[in-house]
Amino acid sequence: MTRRGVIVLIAGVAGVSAVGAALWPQFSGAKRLTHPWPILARELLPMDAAEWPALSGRCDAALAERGRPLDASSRVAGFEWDEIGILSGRDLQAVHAALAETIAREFGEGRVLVVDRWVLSETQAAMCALAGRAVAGSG
Amino acid sequence: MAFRDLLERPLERDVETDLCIIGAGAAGLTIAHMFEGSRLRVCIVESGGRAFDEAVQDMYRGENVGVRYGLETTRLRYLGGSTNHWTGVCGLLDPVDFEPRPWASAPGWPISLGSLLPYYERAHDVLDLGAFEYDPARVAPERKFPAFDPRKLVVRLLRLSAPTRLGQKFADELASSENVLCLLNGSVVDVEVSGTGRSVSGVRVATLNGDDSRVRARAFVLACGGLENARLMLHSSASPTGLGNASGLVGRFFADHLHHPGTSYVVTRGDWWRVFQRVDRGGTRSTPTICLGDEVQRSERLLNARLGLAQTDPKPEARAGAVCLSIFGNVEQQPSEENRVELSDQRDALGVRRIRLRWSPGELDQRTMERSSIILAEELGRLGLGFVRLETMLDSAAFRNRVRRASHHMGTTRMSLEPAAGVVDTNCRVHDVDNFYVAGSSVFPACGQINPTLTIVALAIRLGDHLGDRLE
Repeated sequence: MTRRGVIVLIAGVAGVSAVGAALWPQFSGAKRLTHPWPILARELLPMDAAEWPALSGRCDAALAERGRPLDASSRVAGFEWDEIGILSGRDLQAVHAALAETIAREFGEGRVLVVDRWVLSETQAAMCALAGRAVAGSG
Repeated sequence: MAFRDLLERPLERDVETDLCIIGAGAAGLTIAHMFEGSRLRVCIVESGGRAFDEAVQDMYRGENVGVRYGLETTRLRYLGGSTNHWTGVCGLLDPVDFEPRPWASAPGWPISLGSLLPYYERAHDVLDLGAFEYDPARVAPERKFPAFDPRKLVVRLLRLSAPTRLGQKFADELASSENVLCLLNGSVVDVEVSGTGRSVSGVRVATLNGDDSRVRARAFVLACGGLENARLMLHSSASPTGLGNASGLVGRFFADHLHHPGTSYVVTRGDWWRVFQRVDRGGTRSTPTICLGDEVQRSERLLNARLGLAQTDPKPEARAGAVCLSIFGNVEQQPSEENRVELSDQRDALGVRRIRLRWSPGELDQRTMERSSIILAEELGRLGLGFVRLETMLDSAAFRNRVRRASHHMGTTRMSLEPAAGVVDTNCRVHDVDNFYVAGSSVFPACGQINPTLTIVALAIRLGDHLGDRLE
């Protein structure tokens, strides 16, 4: 790689990081990729994070009843997740945009669930289930 | 002096007049105002005086079967009637309200919305509403309303009266009238028919100090409100089942609007919702509001509903920093034969049997309230504007007991083409009786989502035109 190429690459990485930090200040710490579902959930779910653990199981149940259970091979809006909901190595801005688009589409298609009186799209219910587990898993 | 307080100056003889109007509320005063200065003699019989009186109001007390309904607190019995406490919210019925809706046992109106529009326009003058305009985009062109799917949700306009107190508005006119006599503190205690039973000969008027007299007229208009109209017809000595009750439908199909209890709310960001705040322009006031679209009502077999949004305190269970908006508004109630005004065995101070009201919200009412909130959630979620948390009451018992009603009394003398299907015809004349008319929301065969007063006044003007043609 040429010296010019290295400079462009560094500048590019710095720029992306700055934009990302501005959009999601939560990502700017050392643990920023530890639990992305909770971070995304804060943006895309209506309830306070303290509600997630209690809602997690109910969201699981509601999704199962809908015939869309979360399991090891599940994807949420096309993204794979591990057992505590880590999406390491993903471009979280892209994930956020894709999730928001999926959620909006599901609302438009009437693909909603009522969980503890919250009207959630199927993807929001999955996120809530995962976020609740992640919060519980992280102690 | 066209006011005559019967407690101060009893009648020396029976009154003979062209038109007798029973009740000086929104409908009765509107009709009387139309005939002011005409060649016709008009007599209004008002149970109350010019101000609230506990003893008169007590005649509204009654019994409840089912959910408690404040018979004595949801209406007022003195000059101006319930316009003395109304909030001034006005609007047009929606096209779907006029259609037969078999899933809701709603027969539809036997007249069209189009035929009512000229009367709605004239009603604007009575209620001091200003220009006749119901297009939100024309009233508030600078506001960018959410791009709802019009099959599901539409933005309509409410118009806000001051609110006009009709008793005050027309008091001077009545006081100086030469052809309109307004009897105060005289309660109609019986409607009497002629020998054939096909026409009303007169009404008996009694006072709380024991005087008794009659008003005879060529035509009568019963305009006492949606509960009292049925009560007086049922109580009439005309027949064992009352007046004009061959169909057995007098008193049936009582309906009110149901209010969202205010515990559903939207979690959102920003201030997009401010487009639904009041518009004050050119001396008139309006409020854009969200209503269920006609198409979703048909496709999902729902009743009509409207959904207002108002900022409320942040909710602890909502995400931090969110703006919370409570959801309020009217849900139409399904017309049900079981919701009805009957006569109690108890009597009021003048011997008229009190009302026994059987009333309860039903399953379709509940489903419409819940589903309308979810439809709002779907549309706000689709547009990325926010998310909804529903009411705290999801089981039917809690719904019946906690739901609030709007105190709009409708449906008890419904309009129909066929005598077997209702109580009054399309001119608001009682089917079986040649000269007896009913004015007010008791003639509504379906009530939609909109508050009733503008429609009451529009129908009263329409009836006034008809009576003018007939009597002159």
